[in-house]
Amino acid sequence: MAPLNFSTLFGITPLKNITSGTQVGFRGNGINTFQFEGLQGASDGFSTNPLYNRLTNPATLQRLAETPDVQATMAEYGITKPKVNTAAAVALRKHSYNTRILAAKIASNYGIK
Amino acid sequence: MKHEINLKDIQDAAILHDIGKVLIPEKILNKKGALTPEEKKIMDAHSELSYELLKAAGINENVLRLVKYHHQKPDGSGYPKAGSDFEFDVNAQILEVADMYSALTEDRVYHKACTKEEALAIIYKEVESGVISQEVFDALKKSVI
Repeated sequence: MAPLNFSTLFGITPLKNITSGTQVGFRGNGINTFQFEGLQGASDGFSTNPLYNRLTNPATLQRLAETPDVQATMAEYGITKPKVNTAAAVALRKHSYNTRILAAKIASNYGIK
Repeated sequence: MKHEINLKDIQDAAILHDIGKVLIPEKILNKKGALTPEEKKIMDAHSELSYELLKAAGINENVLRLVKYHHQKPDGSGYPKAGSDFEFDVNAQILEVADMYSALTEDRVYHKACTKEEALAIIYKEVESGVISQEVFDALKKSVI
């Protein structure tokens, strides 16, 4: 199965006025739960990481989300979502891998003149 | 700032840093336009939610700290509020910069991917404002050019 291209699948909006202090962290890429079901078990072009895969297993995530400290933090922020958005875990994967690879490169280059 | 690099912890924190976003309502996570102040407050909860989820999973303390504070700044102006466990070090800054650069150069529903030059220029503004160290920025440049 060919790697999926999220940008062509879900569309993009133009970059506008990103300046210092602009929120630049990942939010989402529009993937929904229906598409998540279609992606489960498929090759999406990214390598796998046992730790990430274990912790983003839908049943594991749901169990972790139901622990008292997580529930208390959600309540503190007014989040009353009953179930975890497992689609987000799939959508996050590319960003997580990119960040991991780049962080390792930065660490290896840190302090080298 | 502590200068000792812990590569394993950086890598583990990097792969897991945004996992709390699975608890952010989808209408906020995937909103195409700018977030309202109320929505941003909820969005900003993701690093604390990542920390809580991973704490329940038994992830080590140092990785947990990096995940929790990957949007915190040396002067405490980031989020979540810096607690007694907040210790700003080079590992946290490397994770923050890698996260920023990756986010800027990837397509999102609310922006098209920046070029390498645009992303570096945006991050350099954080160097100029004193919240990202020149050394970490130089290491980023070496890594992407």
